[in-house]
Amino acid sequence: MTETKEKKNKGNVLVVGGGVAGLNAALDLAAQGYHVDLVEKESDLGGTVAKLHRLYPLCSCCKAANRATLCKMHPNIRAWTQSSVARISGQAGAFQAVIAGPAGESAVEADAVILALGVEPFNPQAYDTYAYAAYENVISSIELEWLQKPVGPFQGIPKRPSDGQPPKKVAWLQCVGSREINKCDAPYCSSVCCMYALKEAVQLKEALPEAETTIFFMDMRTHGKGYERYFEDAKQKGVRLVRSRIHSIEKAAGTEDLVLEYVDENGVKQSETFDLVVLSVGLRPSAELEDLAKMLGVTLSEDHYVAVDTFKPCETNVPGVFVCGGATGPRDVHQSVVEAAAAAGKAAALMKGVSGNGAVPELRDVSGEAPSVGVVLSLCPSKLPEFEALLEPLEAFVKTLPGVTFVERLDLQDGAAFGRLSERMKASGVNRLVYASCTPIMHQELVEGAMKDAGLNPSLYEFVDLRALGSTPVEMGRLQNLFRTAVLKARMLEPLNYAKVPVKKSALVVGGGLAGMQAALAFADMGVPVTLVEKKDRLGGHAHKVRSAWKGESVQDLLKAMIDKVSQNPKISVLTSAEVVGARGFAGNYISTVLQGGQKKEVEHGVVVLATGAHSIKPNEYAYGTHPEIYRWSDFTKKLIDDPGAFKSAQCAVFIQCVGSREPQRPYCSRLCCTFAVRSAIDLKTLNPDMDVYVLYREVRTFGERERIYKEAREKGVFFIRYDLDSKPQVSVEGGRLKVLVTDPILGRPLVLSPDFISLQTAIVPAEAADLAAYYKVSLNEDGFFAESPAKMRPVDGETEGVFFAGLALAPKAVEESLAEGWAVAGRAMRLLRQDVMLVGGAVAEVDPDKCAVCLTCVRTCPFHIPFIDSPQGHAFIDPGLCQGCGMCVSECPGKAISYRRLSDEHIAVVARSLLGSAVN
Amino acid sequence: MSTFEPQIIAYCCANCASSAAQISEKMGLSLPENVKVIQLPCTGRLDSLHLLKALEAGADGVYVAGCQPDSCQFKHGVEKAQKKVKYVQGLLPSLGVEADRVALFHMMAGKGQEFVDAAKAMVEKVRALGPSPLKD
Repeated sequence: MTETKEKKNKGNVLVVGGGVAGLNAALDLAAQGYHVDLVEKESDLGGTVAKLHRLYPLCSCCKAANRATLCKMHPNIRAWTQSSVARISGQAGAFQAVIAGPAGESAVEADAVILALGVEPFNPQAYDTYAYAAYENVISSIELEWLQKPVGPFQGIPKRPSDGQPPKKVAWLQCVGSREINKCDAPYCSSVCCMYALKEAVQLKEALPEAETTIFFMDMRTHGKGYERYFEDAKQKGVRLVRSRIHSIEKAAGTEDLVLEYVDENGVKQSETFDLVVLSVGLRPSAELEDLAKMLGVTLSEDHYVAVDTFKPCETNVPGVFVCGGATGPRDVHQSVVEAAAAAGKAAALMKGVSGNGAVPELRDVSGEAPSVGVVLSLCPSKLPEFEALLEPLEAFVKTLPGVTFVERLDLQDGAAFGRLSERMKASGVNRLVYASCTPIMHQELVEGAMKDAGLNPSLYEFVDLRALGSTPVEMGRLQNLFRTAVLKARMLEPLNYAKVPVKKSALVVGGGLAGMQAALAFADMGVPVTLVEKKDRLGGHAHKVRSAWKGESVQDLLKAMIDKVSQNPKISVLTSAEVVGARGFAGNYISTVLQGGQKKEVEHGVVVLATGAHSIKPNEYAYGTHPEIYRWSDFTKKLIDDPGAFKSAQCAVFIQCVGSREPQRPYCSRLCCTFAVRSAIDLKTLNPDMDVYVLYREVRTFGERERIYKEAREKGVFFIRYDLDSKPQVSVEGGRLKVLVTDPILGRPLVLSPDFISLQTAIVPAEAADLAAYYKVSLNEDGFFAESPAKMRPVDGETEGVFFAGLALAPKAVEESLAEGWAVAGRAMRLLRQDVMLVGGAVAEVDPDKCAVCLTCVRTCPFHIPFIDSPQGHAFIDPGLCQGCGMCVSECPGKAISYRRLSDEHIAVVARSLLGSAVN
Repeated sequence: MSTFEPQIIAYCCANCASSAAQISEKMGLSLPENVKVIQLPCTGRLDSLHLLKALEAGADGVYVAGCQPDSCQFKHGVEKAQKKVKYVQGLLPSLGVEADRVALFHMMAGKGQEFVDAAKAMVEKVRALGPSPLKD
């Protein structure tokens, strides 16, 4: 089996770590036709995410489980669980690794290595004053996640460890093992804890509505897309927030309750009793990272994560060794998944394989054949013992059903099982399949793959859901009913149409800023021709006004280098002063119209990347526009780029944060402004140490490793003064001089500042993109940024296949994050572009032209705006390449002119009758 | 009457409700035997006729298990289903059938208990109503 794999695949990648980053990187590579060896130290794939109860925004943990299953069963992925890399040597294109696992040591060769070792929670025992080990009711946030899980010990209702009672008053202490060097060597912010504490508090209130929840925090860092809204909602739901870092936890005399003492914002000492205290523990790099890095010669950062050049995200100092997710630093799931796609893209670009999975097997025409059904029982290992007794009589029963040719069991632990199923289907000549399992949706792709390999139309199968059934002998009646119905339904199935459409192996990138240019360069690196369309007369977008990244790296140098590379790359054709004015087609097969210099031109492409960027608003507050020394930050930094000494002689500088952000009309965080202000403050202080620099802020959101520069700024004497929305700083111009009035919350007194200049960190708003969204059938969110796929955990994919997003058009973000997304879209898009031919159609809605009354109901109903009225033909048309198969238009159509042959009205009626068979007779 | 076991058809969303079923499986919970599941790609696929046909075929009750209104993979499928359920509920009394024999529940992918609880609640409600007047 290994041999056939090696023959079929272009290259092999060793992915170390089977958490959400590793799983995604493995699947992205496998989908491009590469082979992956996935090494995971635990017995299950899934990593940290699998231990969590729900993720923002809703629940997507199930999507991680889904990916774990796919990795285990994927023919191009070999999953090594309970294993680790014992030895590794070599170089890009020729790594030799030895994997140690339960079956001993095995040698593996790899062209590239992806480090996705993830994170571990900080062990809070180091905080002796929190008495984590001594007091039963002090638990870590990871332990709370487990208590909150419906599959956890208490069916999702958390209970106190001391007495098993539901807690009534719960406190979260933030930054345990983060932003501190005394008790733990972690000067960085762990990035994720504010959001998870809010989520845990909201979930706790949902499970126990009477419980009081309080979060003790330093800065509430909800800087991700949609996070600020979640924060506001949490407050609405009664989650209380207290700005204070708790020094110690004491036990209340004679009870297991806990007393917290703190000083409130009015400077008054408070003492409060809680019956459960949750320590929001920070993130640590995986314990295995250091040894592995040493073997590979990979440099680690001072925080012990993999050191990465800011402008080369996901690359290590060793060519051929890439990194993603928690191994690069504290990352949330969103960022981990972006980096996984980017790392997969970079590894693929290194291997430069040729198209390998282009061949689409011929599907047999079964129209003249009598239905012959194969039935497969595939049980989870957890189910087997209790179910065992029922299986043999069940199989005997199923064999007697009309049309059944074979019944067999499929062992999910066996990676080759689906390959064998395919052979069995071929040999027995069956033309329908019934697949019974505990994970019917997760296996859909695998079952359909096996059918295609057997030359069978993948629509000719029906599944039986074996979940949530009992295991006592009385269940036999129900099981027989389910299988009888499924076989009946399978016999009724008609093969659906699949059209083979050649894939246009080229990309269109809209927007020539850093994200768009990075995407174009990544495509070109993989040999894909790109058309890059830029509205302005030059490339670069708003990066022309960005001076440096957070560590001080010059963005102007990067920009110049990238513009040169893009302009000189023969694979990239750049159209400046150009705009996309229309598009038609579907994934693999788009034709877009580009307007340039009054001329319209058509561009054919297989995928499109929308990287249209964003800009900062012009505020109508803080006296903006009345004095030349009141800048928007973009203008402030532009001035510094043009004249680095511009502000050298200033005596006093004021930065005002959140100008237009985090307000009711724009309830999101612009993410990069805090880091920008802190960076600029340090640079001003370096230029002129005598300058007084004030940063007026609401929360300092220097998340992740950026916390280091916040510390540096305070050490350099930058003043940070917090203000609230109801007591904003007042800016006035008196006699040509600037005056800023702000209330210092610590002194409780107003302060008057007389700065030489003011920089307003104004909100980031997206470029107008409604037209593009309509052309490519994707959506904008309520703030006008592109909305990623509702299918979850696809941060750069649009809801329509073949459409991707990168950079600020998705949400405000820093340069390095835009660059990572540029690579991520290329990595994701290559899944499509590596195919020669796409199968289009299948489970889609089909219009009967004779019945269509052109009433427009389907046009209005479709959530993705797919149906349109084909005027010359005089009826509605639904493109099978675009239809996502929800079936909504089918049931809304008043003339019943639209059918859904995968699950027709007749199927539903017959299935209902059959399931009720015993009741009606 | 005490031996009456209602027969119930449940139209379940292939996303949220299916994930919830996954969790109930992991929690070792099982659906009442009298609840028969028909999975839809999205509850937006549901037609009023599917509800009526199930009653005609002998179901004593029919319910829909869909997503939370804000988490439908197809954006507003469950809202469409909600409308159809309301429409059929309005129709049933004129046929001499109690409106309560048709219902819709919003599932959460992570909540296996709810998936089973909804089924049990429906069984109990329909048990109290007695056999469907549309039977025989």
